[in-house]
Amino acid sequence: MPALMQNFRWIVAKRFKNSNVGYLLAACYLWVCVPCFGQTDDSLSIQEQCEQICQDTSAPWRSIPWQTDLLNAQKMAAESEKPIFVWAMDGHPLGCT
Amino acid sequence: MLDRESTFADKVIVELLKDKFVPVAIDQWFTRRQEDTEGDFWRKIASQSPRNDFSKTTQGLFIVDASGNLVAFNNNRGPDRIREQMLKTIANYKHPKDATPIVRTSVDPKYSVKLPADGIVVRVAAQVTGGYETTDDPWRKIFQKATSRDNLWITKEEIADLQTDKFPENLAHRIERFHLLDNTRGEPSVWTSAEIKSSKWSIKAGKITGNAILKSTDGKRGFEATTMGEIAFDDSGKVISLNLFTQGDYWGSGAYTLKPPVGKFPLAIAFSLADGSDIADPLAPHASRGWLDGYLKPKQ
Repeated sequence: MPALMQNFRWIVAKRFKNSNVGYLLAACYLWVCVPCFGQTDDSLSIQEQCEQICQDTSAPWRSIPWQTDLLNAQKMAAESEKPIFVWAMDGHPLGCT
Repeated sequence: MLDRESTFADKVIVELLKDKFVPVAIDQWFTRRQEDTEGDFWRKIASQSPRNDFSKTTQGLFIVDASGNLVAFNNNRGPDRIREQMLKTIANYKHPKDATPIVRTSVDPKYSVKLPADGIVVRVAAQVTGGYETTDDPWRKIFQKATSRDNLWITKEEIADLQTDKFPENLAHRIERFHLLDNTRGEPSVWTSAEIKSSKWSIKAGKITGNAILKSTDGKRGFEATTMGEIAFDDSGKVISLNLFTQGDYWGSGAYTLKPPVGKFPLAIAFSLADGSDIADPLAPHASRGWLDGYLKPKQ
């Protein structure tokens, strides 16, 4: 809901800048939206706000048993007789971005 | 990020990686530079691919045998080609009979970054919460709804300061320069010290507030950020919970985070104490690459 509220604010600001229509819409927005959305925001603890901004822990890539050390992977491959699959990125694929 | 949402969201690929391959994920920025056993093995692999110039990126998806012989390479978006390469590999795979575990005889300290003793790891996630244009492009949609992930490291000395209601300058500077970033579309450009235009952090009885204005020299990128947070300790001084929530107006992009929303847009960043259960908890902060001191003491 906060994202929806912010989207609305941005759309109004961009679409109607330098226009009285913008002020009118902003006033309507404040009158209609802020009381209910504001309560929602206030009712969220900091921890709850943080929990809204997190990666999906059920995403399929997270179920893969990724190794993060190439030599450990090589050892496992030598012992299990499996090929190695390397996901090599700029920034760590499991972390950065 | 695109790989996570496309290639590694493919059911067949995920099952193959679980059962038929040894999957490994690396930041090749480190590995191709490492003057040690692991670096040697990586350069052996990459030298057989089109990514054989080690002064440039060697990123991509590689399939190799246990001796490091390249079987397949792919750097295309989408799962189709790599799925086909994986199935073909399994159908024809011959394990090298002479393959034995490589003995690690050297570790390059420059690229072996470790969490300082008794420090803590804090998960950092960022999300653009509005301002994007409407799009039908599936790749663009992935970027628009992406949540980034990095780790923030806090030292034991800084934890002691926080306990006595002192917000450490280096911690404030570290958060601002390396973590108040829009890294949702790729590898971010960190802020320089000169780009911190204002900075005010405080802590009282576990309640944290922070205000920072960051702006590039040309004014094309910036962030007006407000942070609220809470930290709690047990009787022994151990941090038992930590949550910071930053939000504000961001604008512009870095070299690898192109196509942000036009103008100012809302960015939210969540910082939460890691408990070691997440696959990315052990990873070093992105900005510590090859320069841990600079990451930990950006103020000095």
